[in-house]
Parts: sequence; C-alpha cells; structure tokens
Amino acid sequence: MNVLDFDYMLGLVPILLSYLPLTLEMAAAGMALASCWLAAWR
Amino acid sequence: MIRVLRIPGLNAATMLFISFFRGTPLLVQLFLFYYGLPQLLAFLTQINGITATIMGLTLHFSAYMAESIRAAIVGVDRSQTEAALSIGMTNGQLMRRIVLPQATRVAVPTLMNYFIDMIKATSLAFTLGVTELMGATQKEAAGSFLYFEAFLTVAVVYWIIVELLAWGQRRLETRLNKAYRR
Repeated sequence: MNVLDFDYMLGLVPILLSYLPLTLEMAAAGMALASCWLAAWR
Repeated sequence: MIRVLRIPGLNAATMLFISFFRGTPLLVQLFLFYYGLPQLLAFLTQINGITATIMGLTLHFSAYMAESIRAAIVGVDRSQTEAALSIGMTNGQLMRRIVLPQATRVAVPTLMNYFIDMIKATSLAFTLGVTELMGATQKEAAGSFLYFEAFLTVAVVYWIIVELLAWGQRRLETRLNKAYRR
C-alpha cells in the first residue's frame, strides 16, 4: 500500500481555495434567487 | 403560500412544479437546462455553465424550500390565526404580523440545511464544464495521477466549509430561539 502524498495534498489546498468564491457565489445566488422566486410566487 | 391558501389553477401548477423538481435528479435538470433548453429556445444558446447551474439550483431547491415554508406556515398554531382574524386583521396583516415571524423561526434551520446541500450540489457544475472546486480537483488529479489524494483533499475542503456553516446555523438557531427559552 502506498503512503499518501501529504505534500501534494497541502499544495493542492490553496489551488482549491482559489475556486471557493465561485462555489459559494453559485450557492448564494441559487439561494437568493430561490427565495426571490418563492416570494414572487406568493 | 399558494398551496396554503389553495388558489385554484395556481395550486395545480405549483404542485406540478414541485412534483417535477423534487421527482427528478438535479443532474438531469442541469443537463436539461444546459443542453436541452437551447434546442427549443434559441436565445438560451448563449447560456454558460455557471448560469445553467444557478438556474438549476434555484428551481430544484425552491421546490424543496416551498414545501418547508409551507410546513412552517401550517405549523403556526391555528388559535393565533383565529385570534388575529377576530380582531379584524386582513389576510395580509395576519401573514405579515403573526404567521411569517413565527414560521421564519421554524423554517430557518431547514433553509440553512438546503443552503449547505446547495453548496455540495455546486460540484455538479463540473459536469457542465465549469471549473469550480470539483472541476479544479479533477484537472489537478488528471495531471498528477494522484486521484486519491486530490479527491480526499477536496472532500476535506467541502467538509470544513459545511462544518463552518453548520456552526453558524447553530448560532443562528440559538439566537432565534432566545425569546422561547424559559
């Protein structure tokens, strides 16, 4: 069994975190639009 | 609200909407918006993966949120509705002043859970060619061939985000329940 490459994993974290805003923006936009959609529906 | 007030016609349309979006997988809906709809509506050919994802998430989760909000509204004690009507409040006043403030307290934890689910569901945007957390991980893993490490890292990143939001949710719930504590 190979040992996990922790250096690679740690190096990957900042790269992945740079994509975090897009993920949060998509979810926040989805949530905001869903709320507006439900309010308009009302 | 339409389902609570039972407005004819709109009630049926609402039930159909909720049934469709709850009864089909999110991935199918995303593909329908991104690949299917532009075939019928020419102006949608300009749609990009991010917009299609936001559209899909909005419609999919609004179907679930509609049901939780309905349950929260129905959960408000009937005697309060009757009391408000007996002092001459209109339906609008009843909703704004009596029902919605109480329903919000009940609905917020569920809505926060949907937000958390939505964050996890954004990983499906990768299937529409969007480079977000999951897409970036796939690209990195394909370059290094260290798939286990790459996907374990992204799993931990998602886990931490969700835990932070869950912590925020607990704090918000405590705050909202302050008036009800004895």
